[in-house]
Amino acid sequence: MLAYSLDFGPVFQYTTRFMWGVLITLSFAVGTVFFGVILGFLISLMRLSRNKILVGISSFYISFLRGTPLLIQLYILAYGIPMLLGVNMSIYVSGLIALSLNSSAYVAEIFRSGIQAVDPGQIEGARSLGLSSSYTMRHIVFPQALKNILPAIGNELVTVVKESSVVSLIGINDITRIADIVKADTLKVFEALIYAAVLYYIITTVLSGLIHLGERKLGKYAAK
Amino acid sequence: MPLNNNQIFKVEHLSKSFKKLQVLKDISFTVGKAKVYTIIGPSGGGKSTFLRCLNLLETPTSGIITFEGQKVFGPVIKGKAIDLKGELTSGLDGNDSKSITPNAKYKVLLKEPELNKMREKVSMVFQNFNLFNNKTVIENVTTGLMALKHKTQDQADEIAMKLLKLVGVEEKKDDYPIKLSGGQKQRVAIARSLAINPDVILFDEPTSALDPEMVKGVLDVIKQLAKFGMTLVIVTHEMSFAKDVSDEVFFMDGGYIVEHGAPEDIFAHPTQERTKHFLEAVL
Repeated sequence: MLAYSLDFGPVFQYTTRFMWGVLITLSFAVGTVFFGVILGFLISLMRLSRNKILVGISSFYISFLRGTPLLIQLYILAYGIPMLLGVNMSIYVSGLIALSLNSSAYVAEIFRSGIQAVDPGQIEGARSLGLSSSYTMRHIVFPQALKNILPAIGNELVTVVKESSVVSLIGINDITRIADIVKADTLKVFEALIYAAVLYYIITTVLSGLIHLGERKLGKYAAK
Repeated sequence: MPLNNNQIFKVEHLSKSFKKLQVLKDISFTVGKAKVYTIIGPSGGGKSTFLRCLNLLETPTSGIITFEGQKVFGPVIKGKAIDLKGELTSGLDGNDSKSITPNAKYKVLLKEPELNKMREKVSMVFQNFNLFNNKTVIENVTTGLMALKHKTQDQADEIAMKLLKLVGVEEKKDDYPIKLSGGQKQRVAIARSLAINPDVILFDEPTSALDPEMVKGVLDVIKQLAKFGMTLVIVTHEMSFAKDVSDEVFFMDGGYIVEHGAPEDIFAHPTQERTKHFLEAVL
């Protein structure tokens, strides 16, 4: 027998607030990956360029953001930077910036490895015909790299859905923070946490399914 | 240097090192128009590296390469290409060009757009085909036509179909390369090369990655090109093919051109011991 009997009744009364939390979490995840992809793509181009300075900057950017905790990065952006610069930033903005910067470092590595995984023979085939390096990149290498990149970005979206829960710590009402509030209001600690976990799990499972579907459509010229 | 209109490549004292390993040593080689050259020799002898130096996919370490009268690779002092006025060409055989011009750096003398223009005229067929995996057979052929020769889709398709028929893979036109056999891939690669109307085609062991029953078909296509009067430089391990098709055969070993001459001489009366040993082993 359990020493404690679960009672979800009081927690279910907060379903509407939880749904708002889902919306916040999803919009943070989508926004993060959107900006993360744009930024990460640019960083990966720097990383793959022949300019040593650009390579140095981008390498440091990637290693720093991947080598320090996301929570510390979030605090620095939410509290440190506004203090330093004397500006007022909404917590939503600083939360989104912190998550996007962090994600861009991972996305940059996704782009880099996806591009480098394309057979160098593809580049030689194109260059030996007289096609320029930018044409080769845009029409031959990148379309093939995309096949490696898109599924990995899908996985990044799933990861960000989970990692975005750190924004609850700066006061953003995502799923995790709603769970905290419900915990305090109802004293049903366990039930609130389980409810939140189930919501996260549903989101990540649905997203993974969609990614899997997309992956199959992508495989037309590489049915290996 | 007198401009010789029939001369496609002139290579003088070319050497190439990868780190400390010198793979090409003092190679001199002339490619004349409408001639067929084959390069034979043991693996690791520098054959493929030499071929890749010709279209500058590989940057040589020293030497001079002249393509259709224009120097495309050679010595540079203080950022300026220098003319050695025959110093390099006047019987210095056996000398590494580095020892002749110790102060010079050797560089590709073309900017990227010029280099691309040159490569339109020097296309290459690879051992591993290197067809564009994200494009169908016909798109592989039309890509160069549309991107480089500014043909419309219809014009490009028409030319591509003619070439695919010529090499015998027209029924595969809408397949992706992954669905083709090795022999079919190599035929498409040849069609892709022909499409941009090059002055010379470099073949880098075109049949080495093929199943044995595919080899003859591909060699027949190459023979056909030779008959049309295409200039070809072919690295191959197919000796009887080399004997049949060549105007001149080069035997390379240890980074040197050990011996070269007419196929009947090289195959019947090789003068060098190394050539004899090699031919005894493979024939």
